[in-house]
Amino acid sequence: MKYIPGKLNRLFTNYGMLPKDVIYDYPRVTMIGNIHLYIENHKGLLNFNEHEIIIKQDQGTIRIKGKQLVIKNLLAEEIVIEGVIDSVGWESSNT
Amino acid sequence: MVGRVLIHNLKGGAFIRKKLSYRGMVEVVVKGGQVEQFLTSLSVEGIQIENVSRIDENTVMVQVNYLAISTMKAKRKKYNCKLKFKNRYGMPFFYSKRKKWIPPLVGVVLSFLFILVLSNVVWNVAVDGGSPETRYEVNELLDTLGLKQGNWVQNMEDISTIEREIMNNIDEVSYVGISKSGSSYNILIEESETMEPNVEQDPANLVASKAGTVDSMFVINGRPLVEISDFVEKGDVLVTGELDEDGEVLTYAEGEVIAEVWYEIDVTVDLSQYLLSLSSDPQKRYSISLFESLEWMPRSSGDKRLLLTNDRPIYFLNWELPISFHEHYFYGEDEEITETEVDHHVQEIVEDQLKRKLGQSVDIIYQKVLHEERDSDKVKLEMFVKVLEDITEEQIIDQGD
Repeated sequence: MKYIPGKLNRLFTNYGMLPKDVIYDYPRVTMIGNIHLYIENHKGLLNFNEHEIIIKQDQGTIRIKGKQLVIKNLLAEEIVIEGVIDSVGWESSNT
Repeated sequence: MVGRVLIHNLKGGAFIRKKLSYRGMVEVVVKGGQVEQFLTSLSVEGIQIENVSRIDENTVMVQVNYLAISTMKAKRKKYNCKLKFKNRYGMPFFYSKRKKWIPPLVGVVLSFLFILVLSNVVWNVAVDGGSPETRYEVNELLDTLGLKQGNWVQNMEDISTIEREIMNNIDEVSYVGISKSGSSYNILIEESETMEPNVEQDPANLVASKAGTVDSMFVINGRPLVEISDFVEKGDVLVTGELDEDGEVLTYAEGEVIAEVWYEIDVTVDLSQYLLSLSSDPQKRYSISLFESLEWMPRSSGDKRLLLTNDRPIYFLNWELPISFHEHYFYGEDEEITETEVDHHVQEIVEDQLKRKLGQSVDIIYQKVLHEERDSDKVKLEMFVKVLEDITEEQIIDQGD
């Protein structure tokens, strides 16, 4: 049963009808250089300090490393991070 | 390095934004417990959290809207957090800090506006001097010119215009002086003594000012010496003031002697004329100027010709403010080239020009073109005309004393 919607989803996205973040419920991450990071569709803040921010998402976490990190804005669906961002990591809980 | 500078700038901008924010932000220090979970739960509630920064291991500083504080207080126990409120920014706090100041400030501003409005109203109009009838007439005229109690000063004509209008329209007035003191106007009028007709005129003859043949006469006073169809030379006595032959009973001669006079006149007629005329309905535009130089007109007039500008200064108490208000009248222009067909209209044109040369009262009875010369756009005519006109001229009789 699970197989069919997965296949359908791929069909939808492959033919470009809908963006992937909508279909898979993935977070959308937008970066401006290394100073500004914008994440949509997150599921909450897990941990946070000046050097590292961990954000929960559907499949796991997003780990942002950097210096002088500040959460500029925290809303139910969006998060804006500013600072000097060194890396953005993806940690999937399934694998 | 670049990133650091940029961050610094962003923070500076944020600071200004914080100060000017209309929402009213509060800086909250959250201590201990599960801070991240606490913040996440707040954001799920729909609270916007800004500038989250960690101070130390278990202390975080955030900024929230002041309306969110009650929710924060309700939730903090669940996550074992302690809240400490620090600085407050934004218009709501700015307002509440200066709340006491606002009513007097508004009062002062309103009173200034009130004085400004009242300074621009005609407060009192007093007409002095002259007879009651004249004063009444002057008052009526002043009303139509806008100098009326309770009217705006800006709606009023200039003082000099008003003076001129009074002088022109009311004959009895020989002097008008308008003095303005504050927003009240004193109008001083002086009546001329009515000139009674001079009964005792000096004895006088009527003599001919031109040579001609007498056509008709109408003598009011005096003894006529000529008869109809007599030919008179210039200087001949037409009507004498001496009632008897000896010259002892004298009077002033009065009357009209219409004579036929001949003229030889050169008339030039333009065949085509370029006329530039202004249309009769002007476009009215207003503008505001500051210090006479910075002028702003909300609606432009196109390329029409400016003919008239009325300045309307705005007063504050006794002073003229540098801001003034102007009325402009723009007139449209019509260009036209009129072509005259000489052959058809020569009669009218010549008559028109002759009347212009000889005076409006002449009556042309005969005209003949002696010589005609045509240029490219002009016709020169040498004409012989016979006209009927009054040739009398008063000559005072010298009585030798």
